Amino acid sequence: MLFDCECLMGRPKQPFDGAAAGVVPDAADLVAEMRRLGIARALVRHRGCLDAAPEIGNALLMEEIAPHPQLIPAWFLTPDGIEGEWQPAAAVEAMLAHYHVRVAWTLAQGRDAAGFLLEPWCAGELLAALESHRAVLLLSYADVALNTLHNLLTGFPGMPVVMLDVPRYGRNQPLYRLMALHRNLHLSISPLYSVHEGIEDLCRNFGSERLLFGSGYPVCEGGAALAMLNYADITDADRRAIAGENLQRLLDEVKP
Amino acid sequence: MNHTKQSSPLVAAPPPNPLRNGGGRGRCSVDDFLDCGSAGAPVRQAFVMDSHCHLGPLGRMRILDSSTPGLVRAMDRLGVDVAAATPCPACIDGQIALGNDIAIDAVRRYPERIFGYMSANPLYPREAEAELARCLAAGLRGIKVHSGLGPAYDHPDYAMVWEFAAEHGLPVLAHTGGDEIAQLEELFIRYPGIHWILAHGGISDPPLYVRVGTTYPNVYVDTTFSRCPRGLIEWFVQSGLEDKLLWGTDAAFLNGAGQLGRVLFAKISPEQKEKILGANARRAFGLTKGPR
Repeated sequence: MLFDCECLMGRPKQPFDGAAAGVVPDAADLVAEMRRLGIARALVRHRGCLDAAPEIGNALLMEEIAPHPQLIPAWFLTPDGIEGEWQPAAAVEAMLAHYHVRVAWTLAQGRDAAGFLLEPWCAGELLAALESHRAVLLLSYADVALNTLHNLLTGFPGMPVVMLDVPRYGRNQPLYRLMALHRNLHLSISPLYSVHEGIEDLCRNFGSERLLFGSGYPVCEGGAALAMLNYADITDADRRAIAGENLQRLLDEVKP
Repeated sequence: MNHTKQSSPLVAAPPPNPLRNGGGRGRCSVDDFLDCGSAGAPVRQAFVMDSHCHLGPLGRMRILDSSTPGLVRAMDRLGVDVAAATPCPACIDGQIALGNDIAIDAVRRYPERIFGYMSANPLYPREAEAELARCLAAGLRGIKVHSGLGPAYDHPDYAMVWEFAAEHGLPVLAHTGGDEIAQLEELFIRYPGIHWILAHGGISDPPLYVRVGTTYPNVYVDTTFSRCPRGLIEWFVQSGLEDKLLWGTDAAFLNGAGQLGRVLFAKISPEQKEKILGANARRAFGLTKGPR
């Protein structure tokens, strides 16, 4: 079963142009893409959390995926909570208990001024709350400094982190070191991780249990991700684990 | 469509290759490329040519396996018949002779599988001319140029490279990503006998690739693109490049399976996929006439 960990839905402020002109990455489009590629379930973030306030994006997400049980929500959380008050632990509690959302995502410093510092001294309350429930945190490679990632993986070893947008730099030495140091670090294998023999090398070095299938929706051709997985020179057990079992296990291990 | 693999067009009478007959994890139905991608099975129902891949190390990037045997193993997994390979040390890093030797060795070891590109540094004109002649005599049949080597493609010193390509009927694969097409466009007209292959189609200003690909009969566009943009293959086809697109992997940098998946799963017809995966390359590389 294919379970996609890397999808960002929601209409962008400016319509796509060029090759993607006419594509509106809404729930209907995502579900159609999943059907075309045989993807059974998808963990979904909403672009509104980037373009507008996180609480608006989270609300849009819940509303738009409601008719589609195969779409699993991931909420954008900030170190200062989501309601304008300093209550990140309460935000995590509400996300889990009231909305049954088991996965969070956020921006670290780097991409824009609205990013947040995820160093433990600054975001520790949020990270501790996530860790206490084993809730999953999604972070983009481009949005988090690797030193910061090391610090939060060290400080909160019970919090699974999934790195999205993993780039194509061959054997990425700092990333390999982080994978060796931190059992709670997982990697999305999306088309952006376009590394010759890369999946095979990751499996050899770290096993397959921390690798997750990611389509890169809506900007990437999901068929590229599918082919990368299907043609990889790995065991079928490893292939099944990456395809969906690993992400399902992470969700099952969350303590609401 | 061709329903079965034919002999390698790189040699007149290739020896039987057991890897090409029945290996892999399954066979595809006659016209269903989707089945191959879904099963992870080698493409066997059509000629497949990788028009753009690399051998050898590149600078300080830790490429996982850039060896020639490694490339051939990857080709077998995907069902690639022929790969046009250019060594990184020559085309990008400027270690011209050392890099070209990698291509020469690859062609000698796998004459039915590897089409070798040569490179030269036009800023050293006397060496460049001799190097091109040496590589041609050794069996390399195309030229790869990369703007990362230094000079712009419209630099006067490049003229001897273009003259050499025109004289010997060699295709030229040109890295693009910035303003390279503007440097090349006049050359498309001045050297109509050269088949120009623009690498990384659509990486910047996609309509420009469409314009030159549809305007000039001797211009082809390769599909290698690390980010695998959704819809780009379909858009190129709709825009008139159906007979001008050449599939490539950009291995050993990029994941060849991902690049293959962009075509196998594209929302285009099987006939269009067959053209992109190999039929167009036969024409671009002049492989239809048999011996190399």
